[in-house]
Amino acid sequence: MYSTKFDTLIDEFPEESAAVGRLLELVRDGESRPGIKEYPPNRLYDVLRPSNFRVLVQILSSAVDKGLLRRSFRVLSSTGGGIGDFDSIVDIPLELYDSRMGRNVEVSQDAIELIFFIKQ
Amino acid sequence: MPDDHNNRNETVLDLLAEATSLDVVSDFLRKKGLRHSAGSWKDMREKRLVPYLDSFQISLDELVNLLSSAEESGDQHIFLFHCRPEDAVAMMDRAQTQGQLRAAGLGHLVDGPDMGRVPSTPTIVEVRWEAADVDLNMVIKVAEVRTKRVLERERTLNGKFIRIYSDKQVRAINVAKLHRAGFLELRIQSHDNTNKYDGDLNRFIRLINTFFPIARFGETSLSTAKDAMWARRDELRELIRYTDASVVDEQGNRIKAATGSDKSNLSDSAAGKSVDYVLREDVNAYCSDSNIWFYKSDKLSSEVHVLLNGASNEFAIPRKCSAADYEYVLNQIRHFNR
Repeated sequence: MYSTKFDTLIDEFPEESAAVGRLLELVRDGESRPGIKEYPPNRLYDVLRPSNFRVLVQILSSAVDKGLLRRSFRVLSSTGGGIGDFDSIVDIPLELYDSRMGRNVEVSQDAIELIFFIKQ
Repeated sequence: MPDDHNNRNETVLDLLAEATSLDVVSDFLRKKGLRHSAGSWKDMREKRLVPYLDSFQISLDELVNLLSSAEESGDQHIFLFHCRPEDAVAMMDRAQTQGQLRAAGLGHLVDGPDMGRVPSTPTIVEVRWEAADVDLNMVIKVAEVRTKRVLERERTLNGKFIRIYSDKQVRAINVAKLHRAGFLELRIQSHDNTNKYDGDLNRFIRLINTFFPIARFGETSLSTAKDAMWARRDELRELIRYTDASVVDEQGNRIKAATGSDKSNLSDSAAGKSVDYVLREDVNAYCSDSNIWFYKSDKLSSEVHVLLNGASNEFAIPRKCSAADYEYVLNQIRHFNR
């Protein structure tokens, strides 16, 4: 099933077949070991080695649409670590309870990062 | 005429204080063999620069050149890209560029830069080449006006808490420099209140896309440099020091080592070794971001702080520095990124 979806992804990005192949390896490897694996786009750029960041964004978007990856917008505490994952950026409230600090904090744009997950 | 001359002096001195740092001006005076110490911009201006200008020990042209290079170096987020060398050489073609400038209504830049201009919208104010036997690189400089928001006071009114800010218009400079080897730097002047530069970068790319079409470039990841510099930090302790280093594993867990004082060094510390432990134990863990400082040396006129974080091809130099110091730091980072 994964192979079929990845074949479609390769058909979509024929010039990036090597990068898509590395994504397949990453997903298979992630599935074979316990725990949810998560990657920010920067790390995926290093691991998948696509031609450029624009095409990486397109590949990841398509992989999310096909259910190969899951995407979240994470709000980070100023002390480090996440304090909330949201499916859409519009779902993020202006203020959020920071469980790492024990108080509410205003959410700034700098505190939001995009994360891709392997394993649902 | 003397009034014009004095006004021009005043304008350049004002811009120098706004666009550069005391260290940079002090280093410029030191290299000319002049007394160069000054505790403040007022002292630098009144006790050093104005008397030197009046006595012709320095010229206004020299200060204009210093301003031009200093406003391009430091207080920036720098994004690195690469393309094929033959594409870079083609993009740097002078006749082609001059034609593109004329077609874009910027033909006056063929004769020289728009010095000190404060345009209402982001505008290309200079295009130049640095050449030896051939053109080594091509620089496009863009000036823009930014609104700097400063908190004035807070008050409570009718049960509402109000913060009052004042807006100040400031000139900002962004620089694109394409090297004939196929290496492109896009330098975006830092904001005071954010670490996200996607919007600024995209706007800048759109503005220069006629000259350097971004579709021909790929982002140059700095992960090799981050890993190499951290792994060799003890060996490099005469060159750099670390005040922060973070490592992230594939489950998103993060270990951050930070010095107590920002004058200390993580080299040889147990905190630093805890980062090494994670990297050793988990082959998928990686250095995500760090704060490093290049020491002052015979090659660097003053200590330079570098943030290695943000986008994969991004680093930042938070304070103004001289053009020579900028080049040195950039070359070091590229060296460790091989």
